[in-house]
Amino acid sequence: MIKTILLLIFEFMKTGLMAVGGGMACIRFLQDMIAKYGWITGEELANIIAVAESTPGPIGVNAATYVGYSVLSPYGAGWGVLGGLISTLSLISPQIAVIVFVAKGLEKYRSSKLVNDAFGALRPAAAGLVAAAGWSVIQSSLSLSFAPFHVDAISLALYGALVVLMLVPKLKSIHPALFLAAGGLIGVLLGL
Amino acid sequence: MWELYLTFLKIGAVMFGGGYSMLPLLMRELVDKKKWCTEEEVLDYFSLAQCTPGVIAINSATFVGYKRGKALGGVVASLGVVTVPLLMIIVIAAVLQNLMSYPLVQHIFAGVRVAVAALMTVTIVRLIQKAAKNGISWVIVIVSFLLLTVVGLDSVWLVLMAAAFGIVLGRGKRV
Repeated sequence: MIKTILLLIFEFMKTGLMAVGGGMACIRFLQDMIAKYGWITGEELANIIAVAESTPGPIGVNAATYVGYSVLSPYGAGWGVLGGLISTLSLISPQIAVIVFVAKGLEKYRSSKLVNDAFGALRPAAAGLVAAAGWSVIQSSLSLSFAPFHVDAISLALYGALVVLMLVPKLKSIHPALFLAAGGLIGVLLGL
Repeated sequence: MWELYLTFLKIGAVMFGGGYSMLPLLMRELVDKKKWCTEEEVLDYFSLAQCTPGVIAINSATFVGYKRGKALGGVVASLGVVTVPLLMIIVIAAVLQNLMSYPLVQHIFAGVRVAVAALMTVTIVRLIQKAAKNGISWVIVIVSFLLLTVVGLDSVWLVLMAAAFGIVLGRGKRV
């Protein structure tokens, strides 16, 4: 268990330090983590993202807390709480240090050619990173696989309908949690 | 310090949908109510928070906290943001773990997962629209995606490679 705790600290510090592109980019790092250690399944991670999206707070922090809880809770609920606390603090501490450092020389950081050049490529790379995170979630949510090809047709139809609805400009102001609730309701009605 | 903590506790407790929804909250709390920052400063912090690694909300909070009380202020503001979400998620995680064995809950989450996939798709479309402004950035988006999904590259390496590539390319713009 000590090993798991140390791994949690290491992996979440790495995520906080390297995840360029905010909370959604953190999700990709979480996927790397669960692929490496098998702590939770892709399905569980998708559930976690759903909870993280529909509760207050930054998505990256919410997901980190949840993963930390899930990883240590088999040892007991108290350990789960500790896991949530450890992963969240590990996630945020490196970035707080980075920002304090940046804030000291704000003008220097902002006008640094090195930083701006790096971020010129990091911004599109972060979009690719988030796209990869989304792709994994799509695969696990629709039971999508390619060899042999398989997809859950009902989920695919629901997915298509929801994407179209969310892209309608007038519906843009609708809270994401309402779409999640609609998905849950349809899941029950159709017995997904 | 206590006031700084409470202010960010409040922001963390009412922000839904991640870092991007934080901007209007920061404006209201920090500019209108507390008058700790000007509107320009908040916009500035917010755009810088996206050009530093990690969760955007924590970065924004640390910037404001630093301005109020140096390094300690940064820590206090960030801890304020995470307090309520941390407690809430732990409670939800504990409750859900017990509920997950019920078929009804499983059906609900099967539907919710599809909605999450749809939500992420829309977020990704908007993100790519914003990030891919020319040929080279399109190439970076696509190559990054393929490296992660097809090749199975670790995200850490992708970030390091992209940063190095940007520096070699030398065409970044000032934020």
